[in-house]
Amino acid sequence: MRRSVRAMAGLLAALVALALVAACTPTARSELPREARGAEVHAKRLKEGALADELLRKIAPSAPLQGSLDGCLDLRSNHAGYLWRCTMVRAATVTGDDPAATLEAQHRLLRDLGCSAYPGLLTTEERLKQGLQPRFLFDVEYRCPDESLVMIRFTEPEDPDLSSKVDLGNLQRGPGRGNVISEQPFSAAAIEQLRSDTSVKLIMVVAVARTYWMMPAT
Amino acid sequence: MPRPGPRRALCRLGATALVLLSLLATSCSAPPVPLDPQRSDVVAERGPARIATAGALASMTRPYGAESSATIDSCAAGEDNWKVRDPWSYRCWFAYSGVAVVPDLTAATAMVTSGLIALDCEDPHQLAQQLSQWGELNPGEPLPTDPDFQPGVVPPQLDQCRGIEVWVRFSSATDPLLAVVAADAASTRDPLVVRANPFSDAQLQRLRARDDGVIVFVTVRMMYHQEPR
Repeated sequence: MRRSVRAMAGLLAALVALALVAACTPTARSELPREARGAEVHAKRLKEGALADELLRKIAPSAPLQGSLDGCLDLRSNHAGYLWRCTMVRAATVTGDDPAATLEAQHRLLRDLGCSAYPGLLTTEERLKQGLQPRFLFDVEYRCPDESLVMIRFTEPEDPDLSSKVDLGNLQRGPGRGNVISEQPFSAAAIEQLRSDTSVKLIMVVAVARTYWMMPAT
Repeated sequence: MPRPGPRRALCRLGATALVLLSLLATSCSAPPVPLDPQRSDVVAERGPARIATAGALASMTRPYGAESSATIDSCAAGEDNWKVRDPWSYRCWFAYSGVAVVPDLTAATAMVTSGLIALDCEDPHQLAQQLSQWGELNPGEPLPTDPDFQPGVVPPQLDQCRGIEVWVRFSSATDPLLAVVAADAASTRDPLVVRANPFSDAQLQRLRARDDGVIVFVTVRMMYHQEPR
């Protein structure tokens, strides 16, 4: 008797859960179009990836490439002129024991390349001087003349959110996680190294993004 | 430990089902009665909104004129849940967007300011003020007068103008976010889209081919219908 009641309870719970899932799942699942994986788009991907690498080497010369993300954002429900936007992101971390000097050096590198932002890194430096911890600084976004977008995120070894700060899937202008084509996330060892070096006072996650393909709506 | 009796098991079963059903009900709340956007009274209200927004866009882009334009006509559903209950079930908006290509930032600022004054907007000088204080607001970055100033970094402007909302955003042919700005200017996630004519790929390609000037996106938006609940 008890066994059959339990079985019934389990069955009912499963049915309700199934109904919940069925009722709330959108009928049109997000699926990347075939063109996004075609030869033409792949050639663009390689070209734009090389350009992103080149810029990253210039703005983070002493830091090796630590992560990359290539994917497409689904814009179909946006009613804009495009259905998909595919973006390549390459990232490295720049660290320093003197936060002001680290920010100024980064500012000079970006400024020399003609990149600009609002607010820029010197505004960030002012916020640091007001006593704000690096982990609470807002991301900055630089536009560069070669049509690259540079996103900088701030963290520090003691930041409990360090792992999510190096996650390229949650960058505001990145491709997101919905339709990833390829990815090289920051390794656990790299994250551990960032955490363990307590002499470091500021960590900047410097990410270069280049959009290489957009699928028009018509 | 004693095993629960059949009555207790039934109670648990009931409670589980109740929780799951209420979860189902709250997560997928029923949509309001659908609005027919082609209903005669809605159509009658749409016409004047189209004319008013087109006129406002012309004022905002004078004397250069809009090279490309886009329109979005859509309706948003009011909230109706245990926390919020809007007195309206739908609100419909007509948005007219245009792009003017202006020789430089000074001319672009003058165009926007005089347009906002002509439309009797609340804060027509906010853009000019922001640019005049740029050095203090954004230390170390290029000034608006510098040749390498990138118009795309100027934050978007929003003003209210006697029932019309005006949104302005600067960009340029080399702005990596040009397409994003165009989508911000003309796109919608509203559940009821009456008509969407966003900026096309061809229009954006033409803008990308421009090698000079400031690309100014202007969107004027007006609510033309409110459906009482």
